[in-house]
Amino acid sequence: MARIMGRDSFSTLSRFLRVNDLPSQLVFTEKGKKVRCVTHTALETATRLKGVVTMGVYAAKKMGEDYYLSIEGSQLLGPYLEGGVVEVSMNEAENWMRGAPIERSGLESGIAVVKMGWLFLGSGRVSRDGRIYPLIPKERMISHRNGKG
Amino acid sequence: MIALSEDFKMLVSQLPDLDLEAYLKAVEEPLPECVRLNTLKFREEDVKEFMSRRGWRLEPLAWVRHGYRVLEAPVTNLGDSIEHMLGLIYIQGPVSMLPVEVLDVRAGDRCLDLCAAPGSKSTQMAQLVGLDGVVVANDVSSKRVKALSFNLQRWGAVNSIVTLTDGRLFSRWAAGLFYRVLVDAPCSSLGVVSKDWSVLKRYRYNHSRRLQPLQAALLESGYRCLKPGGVIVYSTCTIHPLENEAVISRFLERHPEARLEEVRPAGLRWRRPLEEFGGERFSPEVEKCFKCYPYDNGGEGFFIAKIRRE
Repeated sequence: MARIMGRDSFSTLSRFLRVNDLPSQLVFTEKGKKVRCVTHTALETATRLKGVVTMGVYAAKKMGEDYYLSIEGSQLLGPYLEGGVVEVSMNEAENWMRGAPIERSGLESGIAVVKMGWLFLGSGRVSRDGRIYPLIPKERMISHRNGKG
Repeated sequence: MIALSEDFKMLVSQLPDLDLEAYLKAVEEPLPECVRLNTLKFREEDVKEFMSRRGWRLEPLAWVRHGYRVLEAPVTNLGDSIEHMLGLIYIQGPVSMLPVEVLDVRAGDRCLDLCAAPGSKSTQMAQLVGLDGVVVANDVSSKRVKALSFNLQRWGAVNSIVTLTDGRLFSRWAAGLFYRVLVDAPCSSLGVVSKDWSVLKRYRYNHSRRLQPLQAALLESGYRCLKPGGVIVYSTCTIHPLENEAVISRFLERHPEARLEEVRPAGLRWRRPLEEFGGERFSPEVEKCFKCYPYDNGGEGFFIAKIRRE
């Protein structure tokens, strides 16, 4: 059974999150290590249905003390983050989407969210060597042959 | 040379308005590449500008909001593009975007997609209802529900619920719950043969005959899920009258209170549904439905009926 997170606990998803600015329609539910994001209306409607498999989208997963954001989680919460976001170029974004790490210096180890302009690309783990390794499922990566052959 | 089953040849001989040569020529061509832009997660202008910078050239489709024909793309396989993987676009056939448009989904609506997998139309509904509405996407197959959940996730559909149940039973617990219901029924797929020519070789009349009671039961269940004044759209991607005109005609006989509304989309060629088939005369109301063959629009063949519950 998923637990509905109170609004005051949203900040556990990221210490950089401006919780008060999030759209009021959104609710986060937690089950095990996974956090999903759903609207109030969907949550209420689901109580009247049978055979419910999922509600809303998978937004985050707990990893040690941190939460990493799924692609959708980064797109939902990204605009409300005040830090922990790394801007990348188009070339870096394409490599990131192929599963390649991004090199940046001076980052604290932990989780970083990656974006290109307004477009958030998920999150990654910042290693001690200063690289951000993408935490993107394989089925959401583009192939290495991607392009016009 | 596309192989045809004897039953398909028989069907063709019973369809006075079907031009077999044009049909076969049309299905030999791949479907035109079309996409829908995600306005649930992003602003349409931002997505268009981003895609344009990456080398996409798009042309709007007249009959659907947020739908575009792809004239040029930076990748050979659209499914392997960043835009697809990040949920900026949904790759979908041009006519297959029409049923949701006909359903006239509005912001804040509570909608049901009774046979939802793999989720093209559910994602379309999700972007139209917005954060104050909800889309219940149901399917009977646990395997197909995985694809459905994956596509709703990619689309960022925080306003969606996925259910795994037999759509024929849905009204037992959800009667009168929805403003809008879509029944995109399982069918013999004779309108989307471009995707798989073997459909024509494997086609058997019994297939349509067996599907019809299922289609009728799904329509009945979907109709019961409607609030008074609500709208249901019944659609198939087949050309068989037994799965189209006959289903609607018999439904109208059982429901004299139901009102069939005319479906005449701008920018698409359509044809009048048949008045009779196999000795069965259909309700004259059925002519309000939309029907097209693959060669009418260089896309999929479709049948669409729009019914309002009074």
